[in-house]
Amino acid sequence: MNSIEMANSITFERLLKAEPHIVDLGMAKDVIPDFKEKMILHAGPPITWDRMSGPMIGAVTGAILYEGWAETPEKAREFASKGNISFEPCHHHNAVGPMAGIISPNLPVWIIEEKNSGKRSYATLNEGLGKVLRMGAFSEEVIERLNWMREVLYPVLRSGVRKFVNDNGGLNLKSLISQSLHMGDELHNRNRAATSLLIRTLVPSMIDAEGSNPDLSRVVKFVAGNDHFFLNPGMAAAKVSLDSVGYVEGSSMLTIMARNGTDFGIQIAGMKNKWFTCQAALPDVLLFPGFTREDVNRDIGDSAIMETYGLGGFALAAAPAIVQFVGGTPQDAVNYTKEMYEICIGENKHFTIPALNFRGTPTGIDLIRVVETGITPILDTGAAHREAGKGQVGAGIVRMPSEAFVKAAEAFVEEYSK
Amino acid sequence: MSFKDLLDNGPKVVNLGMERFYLDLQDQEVPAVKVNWRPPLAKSSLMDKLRKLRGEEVE
Repeated sequence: MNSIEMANSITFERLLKAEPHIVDLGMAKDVIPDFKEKMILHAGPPITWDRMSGPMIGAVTGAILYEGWAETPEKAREFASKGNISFEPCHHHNAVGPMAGIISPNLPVWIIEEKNSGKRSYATLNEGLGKVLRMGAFSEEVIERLNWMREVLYPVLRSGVRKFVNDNGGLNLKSLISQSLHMGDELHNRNRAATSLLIRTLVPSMIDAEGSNPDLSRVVKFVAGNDHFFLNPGMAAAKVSLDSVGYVEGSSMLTIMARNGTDFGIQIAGMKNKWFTCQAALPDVLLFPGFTREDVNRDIGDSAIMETYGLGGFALAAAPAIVQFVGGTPQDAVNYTKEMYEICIGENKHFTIPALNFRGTPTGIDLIRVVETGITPILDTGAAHREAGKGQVGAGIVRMPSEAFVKAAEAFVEEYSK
Repeated sequence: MSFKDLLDNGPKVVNLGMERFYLDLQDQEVPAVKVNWRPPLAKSSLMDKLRKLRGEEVE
C-alpha cells in the first residue's frame, strides 16, 4: 500500500466511524462559532455581493428583511451593496445550508454533535418547497413563515429534542439514515422516510414536554407536511462526520463539495482547508410546469455534502421512486450509483442498498480517481430560478464540472512532490 | 471476422465514449454494447505525476 492509499484508508475509516447525533437546537448567533453581528452565512465557496446569482441575492434580501435591517427589498439590497454585511461560507463556521444556504443571526438551527470527536455542526430548519428563502424568495409569506418558525416551531421542537436527549443522550442520525436508505430515500432529494422516522422518534418526547401547548398540533402538522424536513439535520450529520476526519497528510479524499450559484468548490482532506473552484454547472433538470431551461440558475447549495458523504446521487439505487421527481428510470438510478463506485475509496458498511444485495453506498470520493477516470460526481439536486424572488423551478441530476478537480489535482501534485 | 461474415451477419458493435452513437444504434435495432469510458480529465503530464505519487512506474 502506498502512502496515498494509507492516508486514504485512515480518512475513510474515520468517516465510517463518525457518530452524528442531534443534541439540541439554538439561535444561530448564540451557538455557531465566530458568528458576528450583521453577518450572513451562505452556501458554497466564498463569494462577494457583486458576484452573487439571483437566488443568492434574493435569499440575502429576505434575510435582511427578516432580521429587520431594512424595511423594503430595495433598501435591503442597498444595505447589502454598501458593505454593511460580512458574507462568509457556512462551511467556515461548521455549518451547512441547502440551496442559497443563508444563515442569519436570528434563525434557529439544529445542533449536531459527532460523539467520538465532540465536534459540532449546524443547519437551519427546513421551510418546505416552493417559495422559500433558500430558493431565493423573499415575499411577505416567506418572512411570515420564518417568523412563525422562530416563534412557534423552534421552541416546541427544542423542548421535544431536549426531552429526548435528556432521556437518551442524543438522537442517532447514522442509524436513522441507515434505516431510511432501506425505506426508499437517498437523503438528498428524497427525505420522506427519514422525515417520518424523525417525527416518530421525536413526537412522544414533544408530547411529554409540550403536551398542554396548543401550538403542538400545528408544529407536528408542519413537520409532517414537509417531506424535506430531514434534509437539514441530515446535511449537518454529513458535515460533522466529514469534519471529524480532519487534516490527514497525503489523503486525496474530498471533504467538501459545495456550490454558491456562481462557483463550485471542493476541499481535500490532505490540503488543509483550501478551496479549489470553477464555474458552477448549469443543471439540466426536470422542470416544474410553466418554467423553461432559460429560467434555471447555475447549481447552488451546500447539499452536495450528502454526496460527499456517499448519499444523495451516490445512493440513487436505494430510491427508485425518486425518478418521478428528478427524471429517468429506476435502472438509470442503479447505473448512477454503480458509476460512482468507480471514483470512491470504499463502500459504507453502515449505509447499504437493498436493490444491490445490500452493497454499501459508494463513499469517500477520491480526487485522483476522478481525474484518472474522467468521471465527475453526480448530484441529485433542486434547481432555483435565476431571478431573485422566483423560487424553485425543478429538480434533477447534475454532474459536477471537472475544472475544480483538475486544479485540486495540480495543487495536490505540487504539495506532495516536494 | 471476415468481410463476408460482416456482410452476412452484420457488425458487432462495442461503443466507447460518446453515448449518442450507442443510442442511435439502439434506435435502429442494431445490437451494441456500451462501455462506460471517458478520457482522463487531466493532461498526460499531470496523470504521470499522480501515478508517480502513488508509487507506480511511469515511462
